[in-house]
Amino acid sequence: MLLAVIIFSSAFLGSLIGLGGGFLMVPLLSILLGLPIHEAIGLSLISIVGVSTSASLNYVVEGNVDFKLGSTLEIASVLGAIIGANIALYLSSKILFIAFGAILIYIGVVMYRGGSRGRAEVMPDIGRVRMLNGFTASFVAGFLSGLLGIGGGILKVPIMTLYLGVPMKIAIGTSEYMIAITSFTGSFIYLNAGKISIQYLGSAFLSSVLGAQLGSKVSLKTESHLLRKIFAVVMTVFASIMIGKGVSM
Amino acid sequence: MSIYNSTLSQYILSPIYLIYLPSVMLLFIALHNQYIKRDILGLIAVISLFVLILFNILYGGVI
Repeated sequence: MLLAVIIFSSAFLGSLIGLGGGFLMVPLLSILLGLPIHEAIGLSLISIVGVSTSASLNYVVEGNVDFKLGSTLEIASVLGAIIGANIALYLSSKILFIAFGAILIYIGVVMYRGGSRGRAEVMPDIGRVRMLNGFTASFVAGFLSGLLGIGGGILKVPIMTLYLGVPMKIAIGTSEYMIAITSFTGSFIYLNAGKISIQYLGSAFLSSVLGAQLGSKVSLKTESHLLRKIFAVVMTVFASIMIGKGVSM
Repeated sequence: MSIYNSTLSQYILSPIYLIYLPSVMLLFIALHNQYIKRDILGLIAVISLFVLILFNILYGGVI
């Protein structure tokens, strides 16, 4: 029951600011619920599958998903997720806690500064060099997703808007499509390794879908600017707890 | 439950795989979209993605 509440809340809060919620789920599941971090990461990935597919289907209907760009970049991202998840299985909990704390600091800084927004209005003609840069960056985003159980939207949207000059709406929609596939892939590694308890699967997925649906509806009526700054402070607190826990292990 | 010892029908009917149906749906929508647009490079990208993910499902990863 507490697991469903945590996942629902994380999905809801993440959706309020346009993210998957993995950066909230992993700390809450591992610290509050005391789940082993590998299991927390696996459950987070499954929950992100729910969050991002329900969000991206909305973007598909609006026509804001560039499947060609998303699928091309996603090849690199999926490869990164497979490698990242496999490596995570061999890493100790200590290293994962510290690494997660470090990524939370990065996410907190990006949130506080408001992220970088491209100014493109139409889809550009993306040349080979830029595509190669995008490919490399997507590999890194996928790797971190598989390693730490985050969706990667905080990385994938800037990759598309800044490296590739994609308009923001299309970048967000395409990123949601990509995150669903990346998380879907990474979670299989954890499932196959027996790191996820089957009894939690159904409630994790359903809670995340419901939380994301409610969060996206509420986000239309809220000022995301202030929310992001509040989240940034919360992320810093979580980061220090995660790093502290890792160091003390 | 290990997927390595399961038959194909068990793959399809297992709740674990049913949970992932929305993501699989997205890939099918992408495939349909690329096919309709007759964008060969996009079609190759989506099919490559399918193959990569199928490989991951069947063999549990490449490492």
